[in-house]
Amino acid sequence: MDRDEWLRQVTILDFMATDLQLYLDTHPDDASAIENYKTILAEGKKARDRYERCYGPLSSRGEITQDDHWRWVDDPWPWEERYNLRICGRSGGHVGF
Amino acid sequence: MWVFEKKLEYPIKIKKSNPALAKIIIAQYGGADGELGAALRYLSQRFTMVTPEAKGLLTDIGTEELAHLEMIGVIVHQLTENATPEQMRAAGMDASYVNHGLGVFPQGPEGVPWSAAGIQSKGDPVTDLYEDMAAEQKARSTYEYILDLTDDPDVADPIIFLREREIVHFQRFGEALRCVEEYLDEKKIFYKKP
Repeated sequence: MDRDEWLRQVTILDFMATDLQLYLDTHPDDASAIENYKTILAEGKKARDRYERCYGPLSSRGEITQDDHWRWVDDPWPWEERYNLRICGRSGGHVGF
Repeated sequence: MWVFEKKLEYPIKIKKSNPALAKIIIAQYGGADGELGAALRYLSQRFTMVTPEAKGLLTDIGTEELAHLEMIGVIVHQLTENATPEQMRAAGMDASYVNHGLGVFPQGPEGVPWSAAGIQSKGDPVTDLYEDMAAEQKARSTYEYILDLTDDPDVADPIIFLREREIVHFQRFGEALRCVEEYLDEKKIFYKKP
């Protein structure tokens, strides 16, 4: 898989965690949601580790994969167009709702 | 505290420069109903919040709003980064250009700098949660007006995502409010007992 696909996996899993976390804040005793949350975190960690090994850290506390160079400062940054990927097939589709 | 993640909550890849659109979308960066106000509103209100669920929710939605602020900044940046001064003028961005160049500045579409006067932290949990629900609806409306004025799918895609998040946050704040009201009712009965 290429960089975009790995980043897409991390982005999707992190979003699932963000959304479910808010649900759990107001439903703290929903055991099946907690179970789902644990699965999402575990899958997210796997995707993150895979990405970081090849393409550099997603967090400054992420995996250090090079001993003689601080990869955190390497381009690109998330505000740069080339950092990002298209996450869904909406290009050229109908705009608006 | 926070740790920065080197990625966006939802990716943004805009190919076409469009400073006129940036001038509108800046509303959600530094406007009264924008993401900066949302983040500071929730992160400030949580200090006097009363139930554990609502404290967690204000913390977590406040944190997500910071990620949304970043997304809006990225949209504005990608829409303007290759614009010439002449294109900025033609888009009505000359007043912003003379103060900020192509820098992303927290201001509303009228060029008024962001102000805390547009948010509230009232120290009353019920008042604050009603304010938060209203804030989510105001942001949803703004995103819909932005979509009315947007013809670039690269821009509409993340805006649609952000609009959907306002609806989810509204729902969660409503659940937190119900929980806070139940807690306050219990407390009232407790105090009334001789």
